[in-house]
Amino acid sequence: MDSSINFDAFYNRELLPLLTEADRLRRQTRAKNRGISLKYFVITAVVIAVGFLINRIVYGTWVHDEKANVPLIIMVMAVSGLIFFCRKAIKKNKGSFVGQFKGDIIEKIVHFVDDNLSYDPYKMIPERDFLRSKLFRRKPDSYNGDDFVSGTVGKTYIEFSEVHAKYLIQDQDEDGNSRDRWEKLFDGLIFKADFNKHFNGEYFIFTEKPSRPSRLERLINREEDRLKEKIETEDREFNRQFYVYGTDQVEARYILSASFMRRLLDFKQKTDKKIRLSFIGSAIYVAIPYKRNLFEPRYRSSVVDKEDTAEFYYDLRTVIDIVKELDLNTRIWSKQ
Amino acid sequence: MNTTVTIIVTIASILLLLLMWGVRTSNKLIRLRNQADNAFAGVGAYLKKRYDLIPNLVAAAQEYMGHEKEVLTKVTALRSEAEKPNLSNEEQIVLGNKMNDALRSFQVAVENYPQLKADTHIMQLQAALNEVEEQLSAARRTYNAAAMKYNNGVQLFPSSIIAGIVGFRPKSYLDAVGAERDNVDVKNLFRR
Repeated sequence: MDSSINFDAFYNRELLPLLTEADRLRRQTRAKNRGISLKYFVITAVVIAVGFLINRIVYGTWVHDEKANVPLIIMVMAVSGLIFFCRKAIKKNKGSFVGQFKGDIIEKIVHFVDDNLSYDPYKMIPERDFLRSKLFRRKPDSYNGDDFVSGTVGKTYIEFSEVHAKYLIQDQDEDGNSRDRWEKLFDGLIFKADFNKHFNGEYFIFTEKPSRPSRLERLINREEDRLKEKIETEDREFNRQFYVYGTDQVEARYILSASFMRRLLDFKQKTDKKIRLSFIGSAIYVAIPYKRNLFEPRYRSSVVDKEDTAEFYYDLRTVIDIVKELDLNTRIWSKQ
Repeated sequence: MNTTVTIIVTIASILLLLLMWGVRTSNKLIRLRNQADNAFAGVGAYLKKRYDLIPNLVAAAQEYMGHEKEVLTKVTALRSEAEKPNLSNEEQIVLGNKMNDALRSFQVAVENYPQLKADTHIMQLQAALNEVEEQLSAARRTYNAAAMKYNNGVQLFPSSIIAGIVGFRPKSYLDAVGAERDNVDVKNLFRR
């Protein structure tokens, strides 16, 4: 049966009541946060007024041109503290709403897609797995994520989560002063699954030509070229759309059987994203970049929105269906 | 006098450049030929691995497949033939292809014996055989890719001139076996 028909029935029967309840919570949270903002606004206004008043009492003027204006300095510090606490309280309330929404709605959708999967809105694919995948040449200096899904689909154990990885760059201006700047390394979903064949080497598939260290970089930075050899398959269409690298020509072809290459081509076309794959240590890793933040509910408008909820569902399906799309459940080789 | 020297120097330079190009091209062709030979040796290694599995497979299947003696005898005979020393590349290929057909017949015959299909030992052996078949297919594809690179060097102008002088001959390709050609899922062979 068409999954969209299934989803429609599921939405009306199971999700709608939960979404209505979640929207009530959203409105309550917003009202509470508006109250907090107002309270902090009034306190801040009073603190500013008192600051100037004390300054005038001490120095005889609102702002003294020559003296330190200690009451004003204290006032600025107090205002900064108030803004910090106000934002923290608002963020905490919003976070609590988002957590509850994800626990109720996203978890329900995850179980609808596959009952054997579990969902944790606060966990993520560990950074050590991100590094082990070697999907990216650089190491991240900042790594975080959420929406962790794990479990067994058929015979295949999978894990995935949203990941945001950044690295730090130091720029130098004309005067020689250095300034830190954050650059995006990856925003999107990282998927890991147990691969259905044994292999010893490391293999990489990219939709864009990856950057590789030059001889000089390898020598100076002692950077190893993780991609090793370029591998040309006999499938011209596959070679046109993917760049394949790896340790061993024969083993790469063992992984990339004719049917697997066709499946990857279909998967690429379906996702229409610059995906990356690696095969390392008996696992397959897939990176699917997204520009938007995934599985996040609306906050300023109603969450009772079928289109938004369907988007959560299809985003989840795209990843969970990798097992089916790449036929990872076929276990006819010695790895069972 | 100066003109003669200029002509001699020019001709000598051209000859030197041609010689350097010839050596370079010849070295490149040797490298490609070695890669193809190495890839062919890989095919041989996986053929050997497959032959090694056959005695166990036949022994395990024998007690169930009383009526399929012919298939088992054929598989065993082909294996013995493949064990002979000093087989040429062509003979290895022919024997490998015959074994593909024999194993296909064996797998079809297995379908008629539900007890055999359910036997754990047979299932393990079939899984190992599937793995070797897939590895063999990968080795065969690797060889064909290497042979194509080499053949392009031998047959395309201008490197074909050097190939002709040095005596490089194009290599034959290994035919894809049925499963590769038809792009059939191996799973179907056993679980139809």
